[in-house]
Amino acid sequence: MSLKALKLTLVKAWPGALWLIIVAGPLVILRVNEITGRVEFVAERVVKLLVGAFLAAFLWGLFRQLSGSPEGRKGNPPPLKRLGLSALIGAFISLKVNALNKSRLFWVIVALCLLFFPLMTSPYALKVATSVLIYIALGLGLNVIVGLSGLLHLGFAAFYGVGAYAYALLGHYLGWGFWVCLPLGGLAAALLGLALGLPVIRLTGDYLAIVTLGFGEIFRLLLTNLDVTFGPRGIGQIAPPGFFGLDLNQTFKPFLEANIGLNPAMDLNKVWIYLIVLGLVALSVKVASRLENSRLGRAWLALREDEIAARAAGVNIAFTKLTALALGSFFAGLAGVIFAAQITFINPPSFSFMESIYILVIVVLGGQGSIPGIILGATIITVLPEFLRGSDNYRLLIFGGLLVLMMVFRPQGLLKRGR
Amino acid sequence: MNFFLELLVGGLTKGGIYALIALGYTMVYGIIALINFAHGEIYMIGAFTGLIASLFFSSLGLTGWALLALVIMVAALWAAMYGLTLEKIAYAPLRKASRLSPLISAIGASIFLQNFVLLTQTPNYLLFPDLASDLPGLSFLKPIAHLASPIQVCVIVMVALILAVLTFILKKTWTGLAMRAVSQDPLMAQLTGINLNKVIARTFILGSVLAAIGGVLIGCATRQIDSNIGFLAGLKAFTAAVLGGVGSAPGAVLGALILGFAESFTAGYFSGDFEDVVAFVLLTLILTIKPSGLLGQKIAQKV
Amino acid sequence: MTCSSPRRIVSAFASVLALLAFSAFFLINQGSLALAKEEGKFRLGFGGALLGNLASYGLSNRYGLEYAVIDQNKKGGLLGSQIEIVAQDDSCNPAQAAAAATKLLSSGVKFVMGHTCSGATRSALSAYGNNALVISSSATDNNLTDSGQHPYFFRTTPRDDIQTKIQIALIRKKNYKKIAILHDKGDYGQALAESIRQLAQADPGREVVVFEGINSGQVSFDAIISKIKETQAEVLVWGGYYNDAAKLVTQARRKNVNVPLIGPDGLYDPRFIVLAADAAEGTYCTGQVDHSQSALAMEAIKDHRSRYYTQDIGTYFFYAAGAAQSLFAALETVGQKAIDQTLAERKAAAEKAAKEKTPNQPPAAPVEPPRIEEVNLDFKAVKQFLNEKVVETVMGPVRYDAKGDIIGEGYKLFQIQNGKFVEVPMSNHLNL
Repeated sequence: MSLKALKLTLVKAWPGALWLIIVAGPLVILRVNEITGRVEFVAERVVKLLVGAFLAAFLWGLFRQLSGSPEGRKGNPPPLKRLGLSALIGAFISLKVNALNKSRLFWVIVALCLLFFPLMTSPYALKVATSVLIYIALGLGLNVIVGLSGLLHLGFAAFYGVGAYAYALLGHYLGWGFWVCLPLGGLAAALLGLALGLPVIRLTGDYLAIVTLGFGEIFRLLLTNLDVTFGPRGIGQIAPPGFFGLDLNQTFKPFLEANIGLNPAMDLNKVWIYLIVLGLVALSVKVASRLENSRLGRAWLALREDEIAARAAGVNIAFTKLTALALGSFFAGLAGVIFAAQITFINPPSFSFMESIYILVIVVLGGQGSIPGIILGATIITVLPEFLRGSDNYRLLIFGGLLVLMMVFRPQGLLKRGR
Repeated sequence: MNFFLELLVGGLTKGGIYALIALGYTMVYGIIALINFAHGEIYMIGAFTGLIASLFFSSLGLTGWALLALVIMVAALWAAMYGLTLEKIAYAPLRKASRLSPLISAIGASIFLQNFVLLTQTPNYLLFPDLASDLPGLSFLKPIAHLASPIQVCVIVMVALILAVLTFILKKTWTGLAMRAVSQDPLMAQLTGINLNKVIARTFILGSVLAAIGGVLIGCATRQIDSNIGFLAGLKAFTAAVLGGVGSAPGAVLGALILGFAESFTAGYFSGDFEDVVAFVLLTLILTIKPSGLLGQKIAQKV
Repeated sequence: MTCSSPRRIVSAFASVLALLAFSAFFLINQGSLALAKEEGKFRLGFGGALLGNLASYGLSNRYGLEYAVIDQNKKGGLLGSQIEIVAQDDSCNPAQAAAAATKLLSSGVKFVMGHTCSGATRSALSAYGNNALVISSSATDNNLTDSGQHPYFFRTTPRDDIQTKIQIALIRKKNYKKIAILHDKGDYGQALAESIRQLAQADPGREVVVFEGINSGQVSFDAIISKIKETQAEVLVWGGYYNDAAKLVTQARRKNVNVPLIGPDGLYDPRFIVLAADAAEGTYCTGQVDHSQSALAMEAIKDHRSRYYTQDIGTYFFYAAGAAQSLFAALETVGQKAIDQTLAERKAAAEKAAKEKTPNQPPAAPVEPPRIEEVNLDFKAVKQFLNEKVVETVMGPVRYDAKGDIIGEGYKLFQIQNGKFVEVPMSNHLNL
């Protein structure tokens, strides 16, 4: 980009900046005092407003220049297509993959890194890593429904909640352990997915979206209102997964602390959960990538592209939709059980509408329907807010802004789907 | 019987509030088929701008109808500007992208705007003045105050008014014709010389103005606003709009009223714990029986 | 399958790289955290709502803690070590509270002041396990200490059941027969509502005619207000915060439903009067005892104003300062013992080394006493101190019972008259 073009962008930013000042101005410099009920003029924000508006307008113009006009992107390729994060990812992919793939050593190192990650890090980093893995599992589940089958699902958190509550309640009332509840939680969620699927087979598009949304809300409200589920108080003291009847912290911790330098605050139960979810995610990725190319997977794709054409080609629409819903929900149920075991305390707000939205963002953000995209999306959605924790009040503001920017500049998702 | 009547009126006023937001929602939705998650946030911004305007103008000594009208005008103006900016930044670049991308963009915009107001204004709750409580000419409503307060009557009248105006715009004006054309087939509409961007921009302006009117009137009715109000409002409006049939203005009002009645009667005869549960169950049932909403047209699918 | 396999490899490869990049970020992050640990500082955790719409409560806790820490540091800190606050926001959200707790543990914190809300506290306690000693100054749920699951949890705020006892005493005094109870379906509100329902139902002749949760943030409460009218309830008891209560009571008065409102300390907030305006008149609520009149307290307020002249101290300032000061007293005693013990051990080791020393080695450095942040502070000993000793603090004398609740701290009853909270003397009117 030449200096001249940069200057032009600077000049062109003025009208936009002026517009932003007019639009955002009143809410920025005038503030209602909640106690006195008077409007206050906040003088120290004036400079911030002017600088912020100009900077925003300038950066917006710059980005659009660099990425080419978003509207006309398809026609002529922009001069510099990949920016920032997407450049990084592009670089990753364009690396000589085959050469690396041939060396078994590389994969062994990667696996070892992931396996021994807990020994090198702190409980907090481990918790975030476990969350990322749980969200990957959730994303893979929702991907079957939204990414592959094209059914817009806005109540996915409910199925996640079913798994979590199944484990918490079975553990609380019957004393059942993690390993029994893990498949049961998955199955319960899958059954509920079927139960949701039956009435909505005929629905398409946004009508389906609103029913799934309603379904998610019904589930959350029932959790809140029923006494069996302990209402808004939630359930605490959820047992960690067993390890051949051994108390992990007593048996192994002194040894690991003395010899490997394990962080003394580390809870080995959490390490065990991390390893379980790591294994589960590895398995899910394998299953999901196989499914994509299976007969069923192709039926889902056909459903997404054109329901009528799919039917004409002999795809059983009802069966295809139901399997997508059941399978996707199964993943969510499994993730829910692990989530409950990890966080040891669950309550209804953990499975709210916003949670469903976050999972949807994971599927779309990384690249609709692609598995690496989901892994990337889950990582961003989980790590970004943690990363922004330092910037306190601006955390969610920046998060929301970045979502918009990522979509505007990479509408097809950060990683493009290979198909 | 009296109790029934109270619940009926309660449901009507609540449905009226939902309808006020749902009308703007369904406008945008009908024209460009976008679930505009940020619509609730425009409504919230309308309420905040309205609050600032009302405090400012009442400190100048303005009262009564003039104050209410001026406040609505200022709120509508700024809401329209926010709506337009939102459209240009978050949606216009995504016109050719898949359906999910603008949805995520809308969610991002919604989170952004909510936190923008939270940071610039307050994370707490603000008192909204009841601008309609002693409007001259509304004193005849005093005897029914135990059923519906003047502001609640205003809300319902406004819903009817907006419905009429919207129908007029859509059916009788050139812009309305263009909007309908765009909603049916954007490509074809462009071929006939309609400026797509202009029509969509107008749709957003109209939707935002409706949201702002809702923001001010509902602020007056509930007497309390905070940066979070847009979320629940958007959710309910979305539900009402889909229930009535996507893109149909009378449908949105009908859907909103059904929602209002369902909640009111559940809370009255059963329990407030379950009012939302019943509302959503009803929604599922209705959509199962009528998959394209109550007044939605069954669009022939393009093959 | 030949066409799809390269893509799959690319996919898997990219995924793994993304994960690696992520773990690398965290390893680096950990490194910087370790560096941030300064010499000669004792790290004290704070967890609570610093953001979100309950932030005003969390900030009040934080201000109180800050005052206590700065005051202690002026006096030379904890046995010579300056105290440093490590704060984490939880927005009163249980899931975030668990994350905040884990993060505090990761940064090497052993003592935490927090959290702000009961639900978040319960979740955080689950995450702390027995790895941290926690003192909250605003979590009021009875169950937190009654459950007995958290031996190292204490609180300086009086519990919910003291509030509901006052409320039921008022109901008995006024002899309300038909009672409507509403709550906001939240952790705090529902627990209070259920507690008052139990007390009311235990009374012969008293009837709970409405017991329901309402959806917080609703645009209209008309239906439930009609129901209160229909059931001829004589009093409305509210479990929840002030914002929904203000909306509820405003809409009720607008519909000429004038049943008196009784609320918990969630209404004992000037903002309730601002939001409900005239409709607030006559409302009863329980509220915290005023601690701001003592000379120590006035000093504290002055000190706070010198730092944040615009920010109000809020409701929990003195509870938070008192909690911190009681902990400091315990740590000074327990810490001194631990330091002495470690010093003795080190000296013994040095002597042993000196005996075995060969003549050509350089002389050993003199044995330094360890600092408080280096020694192992026994939670059991701290707990014992807190249970047995009375500590004079800015909120008055503080001692905790075996469950962890503060001894001798209560609530008062207030009524809103002419836009002000006026204390209703209980000893004269109410049989407690």
